[in-house]
Amino acid sequence: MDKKKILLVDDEEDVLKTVGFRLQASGYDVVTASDGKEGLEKARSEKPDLVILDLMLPKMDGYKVCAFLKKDTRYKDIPIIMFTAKAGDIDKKLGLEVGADAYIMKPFEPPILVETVEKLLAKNNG
Amino acid sequence: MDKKERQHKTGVGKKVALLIFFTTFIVLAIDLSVEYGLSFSLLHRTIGENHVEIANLLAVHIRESIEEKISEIIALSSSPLWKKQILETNEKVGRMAQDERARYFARMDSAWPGTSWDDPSLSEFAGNYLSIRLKALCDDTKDIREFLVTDKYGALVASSNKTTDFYQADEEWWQKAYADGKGGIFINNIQYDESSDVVGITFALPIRVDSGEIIGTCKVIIDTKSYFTPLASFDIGKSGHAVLTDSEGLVIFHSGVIPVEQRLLNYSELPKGAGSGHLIMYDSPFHRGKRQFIAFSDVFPSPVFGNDIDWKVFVSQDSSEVFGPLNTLMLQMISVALLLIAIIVPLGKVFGGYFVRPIHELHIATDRILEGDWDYTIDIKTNDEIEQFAEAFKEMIVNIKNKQDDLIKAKNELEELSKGLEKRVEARTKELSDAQAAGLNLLEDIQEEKRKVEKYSKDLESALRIKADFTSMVSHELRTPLTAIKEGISLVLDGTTGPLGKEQKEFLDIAKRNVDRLARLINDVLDLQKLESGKMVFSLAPEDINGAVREVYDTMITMARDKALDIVLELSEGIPKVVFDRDKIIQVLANLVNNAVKLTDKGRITVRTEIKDGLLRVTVKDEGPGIRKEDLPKLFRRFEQLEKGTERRTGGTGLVLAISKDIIERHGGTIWAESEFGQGASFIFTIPIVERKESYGEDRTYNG
Repeated sequence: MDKKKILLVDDEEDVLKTVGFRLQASGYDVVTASDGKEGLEKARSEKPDLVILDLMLPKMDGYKVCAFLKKDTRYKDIPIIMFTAKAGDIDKKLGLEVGADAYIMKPFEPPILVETVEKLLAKNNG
Repeated sequence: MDKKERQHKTGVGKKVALLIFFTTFIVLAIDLSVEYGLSFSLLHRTIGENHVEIANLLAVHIRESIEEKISEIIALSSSPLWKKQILETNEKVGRMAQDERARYFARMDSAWPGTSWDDPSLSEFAGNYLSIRLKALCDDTKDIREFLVTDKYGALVASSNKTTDFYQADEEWWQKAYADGKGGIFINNIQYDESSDVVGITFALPIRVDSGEIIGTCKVIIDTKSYFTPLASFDIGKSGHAVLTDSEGLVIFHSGVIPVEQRLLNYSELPKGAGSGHLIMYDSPFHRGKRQFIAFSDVFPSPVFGNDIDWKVFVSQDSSEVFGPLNTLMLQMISVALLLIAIIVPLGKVFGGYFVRPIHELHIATDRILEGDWDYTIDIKTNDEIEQFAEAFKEMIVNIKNKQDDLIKAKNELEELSKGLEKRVEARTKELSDAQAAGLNLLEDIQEEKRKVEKYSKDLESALRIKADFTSMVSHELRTPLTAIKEGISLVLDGTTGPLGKEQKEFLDIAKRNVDRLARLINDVLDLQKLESGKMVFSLAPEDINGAVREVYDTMITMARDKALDIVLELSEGIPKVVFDRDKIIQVLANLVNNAVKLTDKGRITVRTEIKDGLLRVTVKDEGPGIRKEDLPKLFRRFEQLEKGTERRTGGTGLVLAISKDIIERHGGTIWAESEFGQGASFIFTIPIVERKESYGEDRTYNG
């Protein structure tokens, strides 16, 4: 079976590197983007199996990216994990309203992210 | 209203009298009307039946007289000598040819009027045996006025007197009596002959031989006056009399007076087909318009002769005479009724007065009390509602009196008070006017102060907002680097990047633990800041507390078992759903269980849910070192660490219990700790069980 492809969008280079490394180590192909616009473009061109999306992004915030993808019938089935340091209840509510499949608050316990990714991909295949 | 004027009002007696008067009047009026009606119909029937009976008797008498006469004539006519004479004539006329016979009859008739009965030319008729016999018969009996016999051709055979003509076959009676040999008895209507003053009735009957063949006829005119004698002499009361009418309804006989061509009534006015009956005739020309009470009876109830004759006997009496006694009776009864009313009305007034007297007494009492005589006693012993009323009235007076006393007392007190108050007001007014001048200056100062306070509060507000924004911003900014740090440390620590030595691992552990603590601290500060600023959103909905406890158990049990501790759940069954924010309560439970696990080295942690004193109560009990009494109040304060080292043991920030307290209090509950130092501690919180319908169905967009 092919490796699953994950698009990781975050404006923090260090986050991209550490989290990306973790995902690769867990057996995924990782594509990264460092702003909202790039994230949306890569989501369309790379056709990832899953998107991990930071909320606070330059150029276009995570809500918008998520909303764009979820409104498009071609991409709406790609699971999206929202990823933020803004752990407010309102943020969580908004994220889920635009169609995010899961929501992880920064900072997180490293195993949580991988568990969530596995769960969503399994659900999508099933 | 003037007192005297009132005392003279005694209308109830009059009203009772009037009431009795009208009631009696109406009852008597109805009674009299009904009685009149009943008596009238009774009288009508009784007298009617009585009169009908009389009419019947009279009718029977007339019928029997006539029938008797007919029998007599039939007996006479059956004599053989009569028959012999008739047969001779029959033979003589029979011998003639048809046209000869006609000529004979015409010749006889034309000569008949001019010829005397004594004339020898008529001796053949007037002088024969039968004529002599008939003449003798007429002379002997008073009632037979004319008696003639014909042969079967209608020719005269014999007669008591000279007849008007010779040939009789053209007469009605003859045709009825002979009728081609099948004739019968004929009775003509009664005729009155004024010149002879005879009320005549014509009988005609066939004369037969033994074989039944009719050989001739005879005709008799009878003066019926004597038959009607009972009618003539009949009377009832002053106006009652009998009348006989013929088939045409014309009066034949009327109490001895012979009327001519007068009609008592049209038979069509009588009940159809009734042989007898009675009625009231309202307009009788015969009686000059006087109302008549009439009874009637048929003389011949069934047709017995060759022709139908319909005679009737009437008994007629003035209606006013018949019903006169009734009117008299009615007048008497009305007199009695009026007398009764005349007796009852004054009695009613007396009774009315009797009922009024106690009320009148009460009235006097009211007046006396109004005049101020509060001690006036009412003594009414009627043993009825009025006495009850009087008792209630007495009670009311006592109450009013008490109230009045109270009022007077209160009024006096009030006056005292008001006097004191006036004095104080005076003094205070003076003080105030003194102070007024100074006050003006003061006002300016106050306004200046107010301006300062307003500015200060504005500054404070913006400072607080900056603080909140700052806290929030700083926390967010701290989180992102922490993510990278944690991930980096983890990647090295869990061997993803390759193996590492014991000391490297130990120090990286320390680094990881402190990074975690920092992350928690940031979260707690954020939570607390949100709780304080009211920005924390609570999603309240009816929830199952035991479910929440089990969820916390699932996340905590691994950690507890790592320390060889057990978590025991004592969950009460049948706890209803309680309204709370599931995530927040789970957060509080997790904090309490986490603390308990961290602080206990040996033994177990018990989580209990129950309903106590109408509240949901959750207890988290540990078997750790316990808390000193003096430390109990400090527990829920911010950054309050009881003992150096506790923080390290619990990994707590010192904010967890403060946050828990805020969350529980936001639910309307309380949280506290109970402990004996050295014997473990219990952390207990309660949540009120309230129906919060407005919260039910509130948006619950996430579930932890």
